[in-house]
Amino acid sequence: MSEAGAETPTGGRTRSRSHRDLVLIVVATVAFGVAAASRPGIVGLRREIAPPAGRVPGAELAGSGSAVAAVLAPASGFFRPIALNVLWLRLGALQEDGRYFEAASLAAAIAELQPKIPEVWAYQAWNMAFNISRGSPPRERFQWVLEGARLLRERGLDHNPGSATIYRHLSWFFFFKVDGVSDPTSLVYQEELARRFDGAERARRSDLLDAWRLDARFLDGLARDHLAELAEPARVLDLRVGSTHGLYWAAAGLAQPERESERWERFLLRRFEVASLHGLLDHGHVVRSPLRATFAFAPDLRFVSAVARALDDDAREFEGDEYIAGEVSEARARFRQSLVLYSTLWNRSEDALRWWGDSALAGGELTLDRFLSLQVIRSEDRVAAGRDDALLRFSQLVRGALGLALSSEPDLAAGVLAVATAFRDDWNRERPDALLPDREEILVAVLRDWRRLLEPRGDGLVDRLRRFVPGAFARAGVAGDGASDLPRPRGDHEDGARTLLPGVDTLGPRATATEDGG
Amino acid sequence: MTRRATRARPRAPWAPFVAIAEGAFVEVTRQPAFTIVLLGTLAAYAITPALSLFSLGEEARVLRDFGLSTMLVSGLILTSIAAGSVMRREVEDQTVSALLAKPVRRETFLVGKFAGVASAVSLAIVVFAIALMLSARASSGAGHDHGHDPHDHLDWPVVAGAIGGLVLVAGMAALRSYRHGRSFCGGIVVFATPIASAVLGVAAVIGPDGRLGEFATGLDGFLVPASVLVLFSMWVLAAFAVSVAVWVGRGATFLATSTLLLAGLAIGAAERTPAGALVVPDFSLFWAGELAYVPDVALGVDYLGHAALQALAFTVAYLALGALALRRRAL
Repeated sequence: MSEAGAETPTGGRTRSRSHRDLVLIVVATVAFGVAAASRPGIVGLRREIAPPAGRVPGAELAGSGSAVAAVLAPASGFFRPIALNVLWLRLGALQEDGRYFEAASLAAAIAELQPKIPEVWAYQAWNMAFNISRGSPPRERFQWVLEGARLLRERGLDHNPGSATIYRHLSWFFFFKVDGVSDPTSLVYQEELARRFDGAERARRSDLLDAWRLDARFLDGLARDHLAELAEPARVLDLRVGSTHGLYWAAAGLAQPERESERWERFLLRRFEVASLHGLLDHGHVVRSPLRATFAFAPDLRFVSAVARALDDDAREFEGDEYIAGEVSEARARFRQSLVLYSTLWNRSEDALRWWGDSALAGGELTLDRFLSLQVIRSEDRVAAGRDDALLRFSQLVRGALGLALSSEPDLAAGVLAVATAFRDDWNRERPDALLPDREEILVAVLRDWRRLLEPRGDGLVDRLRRFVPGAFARAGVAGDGASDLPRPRGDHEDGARTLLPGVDTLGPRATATEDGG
Repeated sequence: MTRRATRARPRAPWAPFVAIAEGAFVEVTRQPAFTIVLLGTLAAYAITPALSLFSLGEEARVLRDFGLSTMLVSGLILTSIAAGSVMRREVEDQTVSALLAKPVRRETFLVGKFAGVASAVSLAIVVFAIALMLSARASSGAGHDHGHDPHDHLDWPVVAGAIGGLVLVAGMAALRSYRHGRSFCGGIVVFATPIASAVLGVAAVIGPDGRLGEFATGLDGFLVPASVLVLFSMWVLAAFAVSVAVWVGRGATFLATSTLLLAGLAIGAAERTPAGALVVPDFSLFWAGELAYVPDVALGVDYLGHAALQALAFTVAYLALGALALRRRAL
């Protein structure tokens, strides 16, 4: 073996070799040191280039994507597009066959191979929330909706921080799927969500907020923005309401740095933010039954100004667009009409009259009482509706009013009773052939049932009913002892009270084994 | 003959290094496996647009991602093939003993081999980058009206340039082989780079509609720095592979180099920097595939500068350790 360098009798070659070995070791060590020292610099630059994190709500809660995907994506080379084509084709076949569970597993594999496409996560989450949930038993449906949302906010956002598409879908899931009317079981979703965040302490618990990737400070900022005119104690967003989550995720998406390529997504996020505010105005006030963990959802008048501001902004923004300006104008008219009903429901008759005066309906043939009555059964449905239908809705409204009184909501209770009375009077005027009984009669009939169920408890709940309707309460105590013969709803959508106040029929006592199941 | 005439011309000190590097380059590029991987990758780029059907509106970004991933994997295979062939064969055939008897320092020998391997792989990466840019333009339909399906329009300048370029490369390689007795495969590698560059130049001035247009219309500028990052990672892998090949065969060299790449990619996904990051490069820093999906992203010169420093440091470190290993290896 030959080696450069002279060999000397005194062992000079050996020394020379050792010396060169040492030099090589030093060179390697210095080079590794230089690499280690310069690494933070390039890592910092990479963070600046890739996902912006500074203003992202909940950014500190986000992970950095799975290690599997981080290794798999670059190392799979040309095999990835081939595998993806096969998997997508298979997914389509499974979807067509209605095999949603298998499809969900396959979609998870696809998402791992295409983690940086937000639409892939959205597709998978959508499948869980909209397809698998509908094919599942009612009790399991909400879990699938939550799984879809969790997938988006954890995996989807981890891989695609700041993606407007992911934020948009998250907002949509809550304000539309949970709080909307797309699903016959949406009221179950609303109640399930309310149950998860029930209790003021629970709603602010950091572990719960962390699990849902909700940033408490951002939430407080949202409350300040939208409830600016209120004093501090009332300036709180209620996480029991789906639209609050819809608002949060839409606003969080809009808080991301603006990217030119996401203009359309940001436009949609703005629309979803406004839609969530509407949702909060429509049913953002949560009423909890004192008997069990059931909830009713009433209009929240704290959001009147926020919605009005949003509509004003829309009017300014779309001033030049005749079609959209017309839509905005109609939305404003609907908003004023809603406020007439909501003010009445909150027993604010003066406000209701004022909004009535502002609405386009005032001055015409329609009276305020008739307008309120038509909110219970619309005029086009009245021809087909018989007395039993009308009595059912009337009695449900009265029952709902008593449930609200039981839940320490006397204003709402009085308002609902006022709407029930307006409906009964209007119906009797219009349909003398199918007269409804007096309100007092229904009250007595319901109270007779409820007193029998509540009085053994001895916890003062009965006193709330006594204070609310003293006359009827007294009559209910004197009269008979059996269950009333009021009609019962035959299905989910036959409840007049539910259309005005979702869940209100669950507030009162039930003569079942689950009486105190909450 | 006079004494003056017989005196050897003083050789430049870098002459042995250049000779070794040149020899290694020729040895690598004449490998049929090298040419097969090169052409296979180009074929993959040609059909990838047809395979990105399920991109949910993200075709351009998906193509970037797939293309860079293919470039990385193909580069890894080429590097392993090259290192294994130039080092292991020399050791197994004992030709290294004759060479080192010249005398040539073992460090020079190793670095020369690395230079030959890195040059050949670099040429391949340049060809890949050009092919990916052309493929991305052909599939994007740039220059057409908004909303028009790009698959309906064929980017004739790119298609014609690609086919013509391939024919020209094959023809010139064949001629070179016939006239000078040189390797046909080597000719493919040697001619591919300048001809691909020429095709790219033509595509830069001729728009997808076949007319002269704004310079570089439809060519994805992001792919240039992204490919440079892949190139840097190949240099590191080449240094590692050459050093490992001193001791093990081709298969083991490929396995070890692949493991280094995967370990380096995993470092980037770890929440805390593992201790191994001191001796294993964070290859996620050289991987721009995930950035392909970030809207309006730009890889600046400062980032490339930092990446170059990282690549240089690890390359030097691995070569130093490889030289140390070679010095301790009984040949």
